[in-house]
Amino acid sequence: MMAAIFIVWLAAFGLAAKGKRNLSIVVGLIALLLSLAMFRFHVNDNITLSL
Amino acid sequence: MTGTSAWDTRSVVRLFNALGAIVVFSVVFGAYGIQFIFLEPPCPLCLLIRIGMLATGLVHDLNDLFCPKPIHYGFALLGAIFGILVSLRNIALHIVPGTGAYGDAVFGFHLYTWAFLVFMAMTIASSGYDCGPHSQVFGQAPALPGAELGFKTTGVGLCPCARKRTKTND
Repeated sequence: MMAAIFIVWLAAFGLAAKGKRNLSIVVGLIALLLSLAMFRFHVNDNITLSL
Repeated sequence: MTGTSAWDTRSVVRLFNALGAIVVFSVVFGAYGIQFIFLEPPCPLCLLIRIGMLATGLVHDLNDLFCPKPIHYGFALLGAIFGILVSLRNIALHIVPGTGAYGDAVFGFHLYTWAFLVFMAMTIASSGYDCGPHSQVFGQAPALPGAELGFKTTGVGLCPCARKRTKTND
């Protein structure tokens, strides 16, 4: 799951490099929300993060 | 400032954003180096701290590729707040003496404590961004050259597009 989130972040950087600024920010926000969800699950001990 | 100079505002902003990106990504790549070269597995919260670093690094990237804009710094604030949440959780887990810690201390602080300090610095630096006359936080750019240089390091008080925005607002 963490690997998937890092891939989404990679997509955000890739879109920025391609010149798509707004799309990059949107994808980055989605990745940030996913990361926040992972943090929430981790605090509840409902999920174990791993690579 | 008259005449064209290699060190105009845009160049300085791009230079410091590039330096910021190098610093932030050095932290992330250093963490990956320790993980894969020295085979030290990261803690789960350390992975999330890396994501916070990536989020703040994306802002430097966007500022370098495009013009610095308030939305970039807003994104930096979100990333820094996320990093603060995670690093505070990590600090709180080991805050009681004798309960152990994760990794070695560097200059007296563990790495998650350093990460918290870095995210706090990023929050303060990003919250003071000033672009144009209608979004001033700290007012006009300071007149003193030394102070101006200090503000330039964070992009505060500077925007290469400010002249264009002022014209359209008039």
